[in-house]
Order: sequence, then C-alpha cells, then structure tokens
Amino acid sequence: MAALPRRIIKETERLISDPVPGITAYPDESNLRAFTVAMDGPDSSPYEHGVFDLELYLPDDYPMCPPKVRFLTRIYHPNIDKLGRICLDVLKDNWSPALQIRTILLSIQALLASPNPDDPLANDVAEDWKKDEAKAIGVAKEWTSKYAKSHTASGSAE
Amino acid sequence: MGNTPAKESRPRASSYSSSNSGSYPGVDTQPNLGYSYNYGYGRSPGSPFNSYLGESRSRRNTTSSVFGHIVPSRKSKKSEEKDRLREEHYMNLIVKFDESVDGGYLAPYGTYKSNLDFDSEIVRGLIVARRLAPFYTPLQDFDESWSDQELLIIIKQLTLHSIEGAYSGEEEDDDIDNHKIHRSSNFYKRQEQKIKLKMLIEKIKELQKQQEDRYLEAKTSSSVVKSLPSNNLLLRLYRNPVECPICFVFYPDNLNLSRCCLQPICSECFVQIKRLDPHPPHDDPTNANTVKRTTEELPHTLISEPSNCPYCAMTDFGVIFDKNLDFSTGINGIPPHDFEQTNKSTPNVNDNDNESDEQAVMSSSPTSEQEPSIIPTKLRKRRESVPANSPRVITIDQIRPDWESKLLSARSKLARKAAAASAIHASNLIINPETEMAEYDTRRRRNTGSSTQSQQNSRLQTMEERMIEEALRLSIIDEEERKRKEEEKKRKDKSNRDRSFS
Amino acid sequence: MSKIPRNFKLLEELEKGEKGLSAESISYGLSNQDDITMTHWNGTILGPPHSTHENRIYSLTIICDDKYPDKPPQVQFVSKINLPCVDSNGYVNPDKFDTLQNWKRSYSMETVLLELRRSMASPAHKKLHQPPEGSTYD
Repeated sequence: MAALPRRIIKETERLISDPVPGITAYPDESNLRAFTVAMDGPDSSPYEHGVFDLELYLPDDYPMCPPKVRFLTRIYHPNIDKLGRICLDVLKDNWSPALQIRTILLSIQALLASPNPDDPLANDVAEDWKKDEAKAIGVAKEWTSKYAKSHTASGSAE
Repeated sequence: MGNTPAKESRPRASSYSSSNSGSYPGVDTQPNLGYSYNYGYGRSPGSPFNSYLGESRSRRNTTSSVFGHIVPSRKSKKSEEKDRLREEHYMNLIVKFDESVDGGYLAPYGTYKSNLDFDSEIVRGLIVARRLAPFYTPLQDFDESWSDQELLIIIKQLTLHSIEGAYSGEEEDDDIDNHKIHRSSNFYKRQEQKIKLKMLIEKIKELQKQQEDRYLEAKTSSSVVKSLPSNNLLLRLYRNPVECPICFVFYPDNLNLSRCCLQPICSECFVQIKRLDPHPPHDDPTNANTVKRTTEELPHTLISEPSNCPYCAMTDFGVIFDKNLDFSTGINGIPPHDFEQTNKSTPNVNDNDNESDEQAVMSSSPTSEQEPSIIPTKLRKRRESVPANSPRVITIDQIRPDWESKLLSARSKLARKAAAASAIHASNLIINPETEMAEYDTRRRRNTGSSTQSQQNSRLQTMEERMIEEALRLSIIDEEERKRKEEEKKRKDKSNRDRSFS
Repeated sequence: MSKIPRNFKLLEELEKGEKGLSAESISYGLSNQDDITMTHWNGTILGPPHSTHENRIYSLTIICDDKYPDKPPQVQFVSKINLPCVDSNGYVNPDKFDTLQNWKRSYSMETVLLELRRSMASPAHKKLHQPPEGSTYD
C-alpha cells in the first residue's frame, strides 16, 4: 500500500489521543484507511443507551472526496437503510475537505438525534415516521435494545 | 464516452469527455443497446419519439458549433494538438529548483496524485505574478523547539517532489469494456490514450528524478549556486510555519486566504478544489414529487455550480493572496541565494507566531489581524471578505476554465442517451402499447436511486423484465432488419427487371 | 491505490447495479435486501446474439464470502447451460474459467458475468447444443 498521506496519519493520531465523546474510531491493522467505529446513541433519542457499530473507509481521493461510512448494527432510522447506508448531505455533495473523520462522525451522531423523514433513504421507515412518529420511535427503541450493544453493559460512562 | 446512436456512429474525438466521466469507464460504451433501462437517466415515458430525436439533433448541432474544431477531417491534427497540450501540462507539473518564486515553486509537491487537471499554465502565471501563493515544499512535521540548525538540516533533506508517494502503487481500475463481446468504437482509442498517458507519466517521473539529482548536486556543490535559497531565506520562510487546515502539513506563513472567511489554504489544496460533475438540479424539498424528476433529468437541465468555500460553504469559492513577504526571490526577484535579510526581520515575525497552533488555524475568526510591521503598507490593507468578482480574487473556475465545455459535453452525452432510449422505448410501444406506458410510469416513480422498499422488492422482477424486454427488442430489430433486406432485395430485383426491360 | 475493503467494494457494485450503470447485457443484485453482510447475490446474463444462447436469459447465484475481493466469488448457474467451464451442478469451475482463475482485486461481479457471456459467444462455444430453455439445476 502506498504511503499514507500526512493528513490521515495526523487525523488518526488525534482521534486516538483526543477522542470524540461517545465515539471511538480505530484504524484496522491491515488497512489504515479503514476504521472500526463504535457510536453511542445520543441521549434522549430512541437510540439512547445503545452502542452502534459502523465502518468507515477513506478512499484514495480523501480528503477531496468524503469518507465512506455505513452502520453495521441494524438501526431503525428514516435516513439509514437496511444495509446501513446513510443519507447525509455532508457524506455526499456537501462534503468539504475541511471536514474530518471527527466532524463526520459527529454529524452522524447528530442525525441519530434528529431524524429527517422528509429526505429519506429508507422509504418505509420514513413513511412510518411521518404517519405515527410515536410508534416509529417505539420501534426504533425496540431495535436499539434488540440489535445495539448496551451502553451500560459495555461499562463506558458518560 | 462519446457514443452516438448506431446509425450516426461516425467517430468522434473523445477529448472533451475523456476526463470528466472517470468514475465508471466504459459504462455507456456499447452503442445503442439498452439505454432504455438506464434508470438514472432522463427518458420521458410519454414523449413522442420524434420530438425527442429532434431535440437531440438540435442539441448536437449546438454542441457541434461549440466543439466546431473537432471535425473528423481535422481529427488527427486535433488529437496531436491534444497530446501536445497534455504533454505540456505534465511537463509543467515537474518541480524545478531553478524555477522558484519567493522560495516556493511553480508545480505542486505531490501531496495529491489525482485531480491534477487544473490549468497548469494559468497557475504558473498566477504564481509568477504573485497573485497565488507559490507551491512551497511542505514540512511533514514541525516542532517549535527545533533550533535553526535542526530546522535547516530537515529542510535541506527534503526532495522537490514526493515522487514515490505521488506515483507509486498504481492498481488500475478494471475497464468493463475489456470484458464485452463487442468493444465500443472508442475502446481502442481509449486504450491508446491510456498507454500514452502511462508513458508520459513514466517520462515525467524520470525527468523529476533528474531534477532531484541536479538539486542534490547543486546542494552539495562547492561552488555557489544562485538559484538555491540561502539559509536566511529558509529560516525566514520556515521558522514560523502554518499548518494548512486541509492537508495538515506545514508551510511558510505565506498562504492564500479564502476570500470569504479568510482561512488559509495552501496552493496545492486550492488547485484540488473543483466543481462537482454536472448533475441534475438538486432535489428541492418543496417539490420532492418524484414525477417531477422526469423533467429534471432532461439533458439541458444538467447544471454545474461553482464550488463552495470548504470552510464556510460560501458560494463562488476563491482565494486572495496578500503576499505577506517584504522581498521577492527567484523569478522577478533577486536570486534566492542572495537573500541576506537576517534576524532583523525574525523578531517581528515571532511577534505573531501563534498560527502554527492548530486551534488558531481552525478557528473561525480571521487568522491574523495583526501583521508584521515590516510588510509594506500597500499590501496591508485591512483584511475583510472580498467579493468573488474582485480582481484580487482567484476563483477555481479561473484555474479550471474547462468546466463549461465539460458541462456541454455532459449534456450532449445525456441527450444522446435519451435519444437512444426513446427510440428503443418507441419500438417497445409498438409491441405493447397499453401496458408499457403504465409500467414505465410506475418504474420511473421508483427511480430515485435510493433503495425504497418497493424498489427492493421489485428489483429482481424488474431485472427479469429488463432482460425479457431487451430480448424482445433485439428480436424486433432482427425482424425489421430481415424485412428491410427482403424489401431491398425485392426493389433491386424489380429495378433490375425494369432495367432489363428498358 | 489503496485497497478498498470488501464491504465498501460490494456497496459500490450494488450501487452501480441499482443505478443501472452496469453493462446492459447482464444484471445483478442482492438475493436478500436485508443481508447486511452482502454475501448472496443473484445474477442474470442475456444470451448473446448469433449463438445457441440467443434470447435466453440465464440466472445465476453468486457468493461473495468474506475473502472477496481478494479471492474470487463462487459462481453457480441456476439455469441449465452447456458450457465447458460449468460443471454438472451448474458451478463455474475456476480452473476452467480464466476470470476466476486469474482473479484480480479490481474485478467485480460485472466482470464475471460479462466474461461468462463472452465465453458463451466465443466461436468455440456459440454453437454448443443447449439444454431446453427454462430448465434449471436442482
């Protein structure tokens, strides 16, 4: 593998030395452009108390193109589909090279806190969400306890 | 790339499309087959066959006036010209130590290995004119505790170009055209271009290596080399470097600033910023009606927008460069070796050295209101946002002026696809006029590129349908061909008979 | 060029298939839309014209295990076909099919399907007698 760009090395170092609260991201040993991410569901969201696994990859053109990210843990969310793909503008056309892995992960966490059913990726979920938000939130909570690791059980405190 | 529907498949120079559709090489290369089911692209289900073709034809006419110089008769000459321009461009990417401006160079160091298709001639001119920061050799790390001696040793070990990082480890994308039964008319042309490019890059690498050798020779030479920077110059530049917030490497505090929010950006990152590929207008939440997409995907509605500022997302990204040096070396300046200005300037610089701190750079406030007092006042107007049309601003469109031709080329490509698609669609309608319409309409509604439930459930079925329809279509074409031949034969026979009678 | 991890490569392939950007004579998609591991895929090949395959549509299953794309996928025809690289159970034999034997990381399911189609159309194979249309391996 070609040498890693300085930026990726520094971002990785800073992610580890100064982690984002509620998010861990470690590069894979075999591929330093690939990261394993664990994200706490935001407080007072249906994903609260869940820890969600994601994977992230920095393509060749990073940071001129966005990182690729998807959820590995099943999650009931109007902007995340069954394969864990995420519909988020900063992961697409609104990416800016001044953003970082850190900022992107925070944006994803913010998306968990405020779902946007008007710009859905998972249409069925979005429809449920618009039809009966309370019920949808119930399902999201159910999925969180069913599929996500438990935040308290993992021992990591706020 | 440039495929016209089969009947008009005269060879076309692929020059304008070769660089802007890189993500999926060879996607649309098989002439005339199956565009009808390319879900992502515009095809109006109800639009009459003729009007669509008509539109495509007129579209082609308008573009051909734009691309008027690419006519078959002069093609070889044009392709030679293109090769020559490309070679010139790549030659411009060689960092030469005796081509310097204020201690920096006219070509990038090689932090990025792709997206180097900016107009290198224009960029060189801007650097020489001191309107854009020169490409400085970056420091991968910097520590304020380094002594001058340590700093000089580190700087002097740097190469002109990160040649291995920039060119090594190429694993080529697979070209799907390699695996098709019939290769497109452009296939061999593209293969040839690829080989040429590879050879050119080899040549450039070799020339860059020669430059490095010459540079090393000059540095170790016992005699004076005027084009090498003096120690004072190096210290003046690198004593208080700034970390570029995008590539995270350290540069002399002589960077471009975004015109809107006055954040620093090195020239190497700046020339990477470009417009997004031409795309349909963005979904507006207020008209998220999927039916609307059919019109949105019409070729002439494809748009291309200026890039936004990477820091504050302001439209029409551009930079200003207030050369904050009180000297000029290299081109239009004194020989770099003759730079003598000693520590008398350093204290001033040290007075505002806080910019090497990441937080300071990343913060949203303008990076340096306070300026070294030694800077001539004519360059030191108070810094504030500058409108995009100010003559001081360099926009990304200025260094990539080809965006317009790329847009036109994307539009005409889409128009050709649409024309082929509606031709096929029309022939499908002949088989099954009632159901087809409804079917296509529903399919189009699913066609948003995302994976909705209904789309997922029906995708397999849809694939099968596509296959069957494709098969039907092919058999119709065969049948038509057979009839046509038969009729031609009849006509010939008749005319032969007629002739023999007369 | 860095090595794109399996899952992101498969997502790219999936997207290309979904957006209709892949070659028109073949298609492929996930067998199960919930399969977050993206292991099981379906493929189709439109029989090439001017051959005994003309107008036939061949279904296949493709398995991309966790070694993909470092190792080739496992490919099996569902529709019966007479082709030297396909064994009596419909499996494409990697020893007899160059694309699988000399697999490259840059290849994709699209590559495999197109190359199979090319093999079907090759002068040596295009006249091979074929099992009845619509018959499948069980």
